[in-house]
Amino acid sequence: MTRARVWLAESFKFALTVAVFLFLNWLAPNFEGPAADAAQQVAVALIAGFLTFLTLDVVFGRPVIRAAWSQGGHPIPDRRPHLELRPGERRVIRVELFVDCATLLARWVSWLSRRHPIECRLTLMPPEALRCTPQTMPSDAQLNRNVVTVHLTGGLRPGINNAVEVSVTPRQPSAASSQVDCHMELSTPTRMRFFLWALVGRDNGIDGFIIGGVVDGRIHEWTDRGQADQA
Amino acid sequence: MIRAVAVLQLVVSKQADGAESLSAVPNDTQEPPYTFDRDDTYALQIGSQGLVELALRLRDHGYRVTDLTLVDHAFSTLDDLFAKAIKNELLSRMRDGEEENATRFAERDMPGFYVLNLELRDTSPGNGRVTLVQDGIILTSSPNQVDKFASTVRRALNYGHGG
Repeated sequence: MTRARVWLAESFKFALTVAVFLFLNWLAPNFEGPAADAAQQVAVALIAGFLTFLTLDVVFGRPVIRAAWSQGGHPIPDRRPHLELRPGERRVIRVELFVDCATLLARWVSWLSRRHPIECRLTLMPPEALRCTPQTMPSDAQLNRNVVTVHLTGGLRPGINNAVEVSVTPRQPSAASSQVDCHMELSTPTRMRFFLWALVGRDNGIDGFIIGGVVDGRIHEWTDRGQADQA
Repeated sequence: MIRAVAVLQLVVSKQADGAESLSAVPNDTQEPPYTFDRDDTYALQIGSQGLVELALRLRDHGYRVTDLTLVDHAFSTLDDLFAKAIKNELLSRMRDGEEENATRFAERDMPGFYVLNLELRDTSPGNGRVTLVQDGIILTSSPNQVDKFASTVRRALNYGHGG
């Protein structure tokens, strides 16, 4: 999730907690006694925080599909894995689709999704700078140009729902000093059942990698480190 | 890998009616596959698992896998003892095993190993040999076999004829 979205989500939670606090404060009777006012304020604040947590994080939190990538079999780190490619270099990256679904609403949506499979699209951008090749694809995934389409057919499950391996290759850059920031976009087409589309969150903020430098990208880089002998 | 006297590129073209066709285009100057990508045309997107699946289909058309090259995630060739054991197991399953058995092995049982290229031998009279590399590069020492091989790949992958 991008920082802006995290900030927005947390701000909304805070604003809702304040609203619930003010409402409860208005409803609460006035107690008499030493420090009663301060104790009431603390109690109402705790109750408001608990109610907000119960509502947003336990009952009505949407399931969220998010993607993360790694390379070379290393565990997916919290921050973006570093990958800097030069033309002619190729790298296999593994993209995993995770689902966070711990709330009651999320479990209900997960049950619904068993009957209405969800299609996820992962687009590797920018296509004019990057060529993709499918390396390992489960039968419910496919690659067309730079778009990986994955069908989550068994219903949303907490944790890893699907994984694909794609090799990425920089196309020839225009200048030696040029660097291209690549990124990935996760989307779910709206042609899936609208109620499900509205109920499933998508974490689009997947970090990418950098293409830089320049070398001669001839075919020997592709075939076998120079073994494509010409007779 | 065989000593190649001809290098070709398998290219997918989208026809006016929306159907896709596959053709083998000469690539004498050995340009990388992405140079063949246009709006309606692109170099065949075939990787490790796709090569294994294609080889299993080509088996029904008289082509046998004689060798393959394994690479890691950075496309460095792997030839240590473990890699050789993986390679021999995969070759064995691709030659004689059931199709599902070989594809499952390639998909699940060799993490971190990727098939870069396959060497194929035509078992019919003429005995041509070709090397098929990821992204649809064809290297062959028997140029007269190319049309037949491209046609067989086209049928195996259910593409139309691209001329």
